[in-house]
Amino acid sequence: MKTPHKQTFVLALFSVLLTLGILDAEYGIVRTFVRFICTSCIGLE
Amino acid sequence: MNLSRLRHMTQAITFIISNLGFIPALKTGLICPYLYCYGCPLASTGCPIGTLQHFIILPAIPLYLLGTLGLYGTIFGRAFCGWACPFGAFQDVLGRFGKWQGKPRRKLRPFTYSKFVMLLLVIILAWLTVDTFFCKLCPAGSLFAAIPASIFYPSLSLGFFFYVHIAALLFTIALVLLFSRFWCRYLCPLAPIGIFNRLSLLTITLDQTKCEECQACLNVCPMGIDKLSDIGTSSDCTLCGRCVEACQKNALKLQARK
Repeated sequence: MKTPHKQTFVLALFSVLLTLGILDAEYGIVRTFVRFICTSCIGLE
Repeated sequence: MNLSRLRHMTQAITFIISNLGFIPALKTGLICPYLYCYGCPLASTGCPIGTLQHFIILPAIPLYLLGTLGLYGTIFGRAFCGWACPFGAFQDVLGRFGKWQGKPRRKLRPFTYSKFVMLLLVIILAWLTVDTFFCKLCPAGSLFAAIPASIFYPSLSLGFFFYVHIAALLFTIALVLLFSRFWCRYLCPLAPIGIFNRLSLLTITLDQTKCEECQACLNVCPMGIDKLSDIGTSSDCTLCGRCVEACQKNALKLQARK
């Protein structure tokens, strides 16, 4: 497969994964991780 | 504007964007393409390695994460490591004091594939410990989260893993002073995104007709690339463009792949 075709295929593949992830509410899950500051992860108690 | 100045500017802008989380609405669910700990009180985006571990713990397939990283990689290759990563920028600053000055091509051959092993270890340890184990050791987390948070939340006491963080950071600093961009070359679990360099839209091309094989490009590469054919294609190349600037014959170009 030529590189431009590979690029198109890979871009399409990851776009589908991204869309499925967003539809699965994963954006909201990541936002929750960002908003909840895990102090134990950085060694604060 | 030359590439070095542009790179310093994008690194500074990225650092500012990564810390816009002090505005509550800007604490987003976007995933950044570099290590930036969301344990930092100001973080605006999710760290890809932290997110990966959280999804392993849940357990769930991280489709959103895979899609995001895949798109970053297919468009920009590993350019974010050279142009955006705040921890990479920190290593660039440290590099000015490095012992390796003038000989960045020195390599630790046994560690050639260690970044892939690190990614595998991150996954296995998160699964075995049901915890974000790597986050407790991450030197980027030490610098951008543990230290600022200890100042931000003075009421919290410093636990065992805070000292582990500081030790990991000091250890990494010592290694970066001995080997240019040691963390990016051998230990960063996000470095395997470099496999996209072979097909990414952004790349560095070499015009063989202009090249005199003086190797000036290889002598300035902070990632220790030692073959002309590896420039722009090796998973180690961060497309930082230092080689492009070093080439007196304009044989190298940072451009969209044709």
